[in-house]
Amino acid sequence: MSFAKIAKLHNADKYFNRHYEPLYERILPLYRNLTRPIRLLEIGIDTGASLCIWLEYFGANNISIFGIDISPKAIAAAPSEAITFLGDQADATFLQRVISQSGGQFDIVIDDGGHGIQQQQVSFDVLWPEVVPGGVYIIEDLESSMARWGRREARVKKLALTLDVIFGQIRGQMRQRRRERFVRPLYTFCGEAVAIEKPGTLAGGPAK
Amino acid sequence: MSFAKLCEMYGSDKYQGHRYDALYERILAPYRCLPRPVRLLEIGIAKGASLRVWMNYFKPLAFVRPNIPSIFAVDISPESVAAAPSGVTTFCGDQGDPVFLDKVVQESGGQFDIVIDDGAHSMWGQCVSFDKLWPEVLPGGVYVIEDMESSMRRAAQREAKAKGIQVTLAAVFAQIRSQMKRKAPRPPRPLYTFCGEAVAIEKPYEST
Repeated sequence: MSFAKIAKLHNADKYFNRHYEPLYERILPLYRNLTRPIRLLEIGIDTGASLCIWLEYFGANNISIFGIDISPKAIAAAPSEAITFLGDQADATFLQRVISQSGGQFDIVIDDGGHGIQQQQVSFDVLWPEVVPGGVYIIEDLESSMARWGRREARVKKLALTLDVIFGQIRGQMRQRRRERFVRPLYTFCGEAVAIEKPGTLAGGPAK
Repeated sequence: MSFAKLCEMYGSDKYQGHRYDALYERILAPYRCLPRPVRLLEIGIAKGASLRVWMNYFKPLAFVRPNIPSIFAVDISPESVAAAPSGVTTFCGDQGDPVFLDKVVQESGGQFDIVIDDGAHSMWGQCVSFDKLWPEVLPGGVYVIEDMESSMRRAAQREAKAKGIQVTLAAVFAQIRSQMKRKAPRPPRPLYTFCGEAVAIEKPYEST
């Protein structure tokens, strides 16, 4: 079944308002027919709908699924197949614990958490090294970088806006010297989300 | 044959020089199996290497109806136009000249699946070409701008300032930002894929 159909069945906000459907339809099929179970970490469980989507999309036997949420209520709502962690995505020590307990090495990481500037950046800094070559890191709801509360948070905590950090990364890629050019992540923007794909060949997958 | 191999064979810098292979393999693969010849326009012919790549990449389909031109190319230099392989419909003119581009659209019939701007890499040329040719991209089609690192050069910044425009990279980033400001219900939005110095902008099927 396609991502859109499964998402609709689960009432997930990824489908409603047609948020990110084209992005997920582009990225997810790359991970669907691997010779091993994929490893997926999602920050932000909420009602558990999106975890159910991943289970159905990849098949419960083909996925090791990990979820993070700051609210115990959301942890309780997660499907039983998921391994959950209760904590704050802006807390690097907590994230290190998640990595050591889950084993890290994720094929897919999705940040659909609190959408705070600091939250997004701390999570990215700690978890991006744990994305396997050929894997993908998705940040949803980047419009927080343009909302007043996001800009205020950035000012108070003396941080750059997440969107500017990503644009800065893209600019950095463009400044690469010729001999460094074999490593270039792909950045795919769709509405408020971005998917950042790590260069390399995915283990157990078709050649990318 | 893969895109990378074809580039090496015909001497196109799209693989060895720029490492755009990850982008093009991803974006172009769906067009390899269209039930009709793919309509492609490339700005910037130089020695014709990339046109030879396209003709062979999409080759099996070009044989379906060999008499209908479907690959078009624009260059400002008559020498380059002469270097284009036969079977390509060429136009000699300036990509920064809207009247010339209108003529290209009219004579070629417009309605492109793929437009690639690998022309002069000047801010004005990239902007005018995008404004004129983006409406001619079919729903589901793609517009690629190569070598955007030109936006970061001093000469480009001077050019943009003199002509009262934004540098191309800033214009693309501004587009992405404006896509994020849409209120629900959200229309389908374009996908922007960055790979090194290039960006591919894909038109959604139900465009607004």
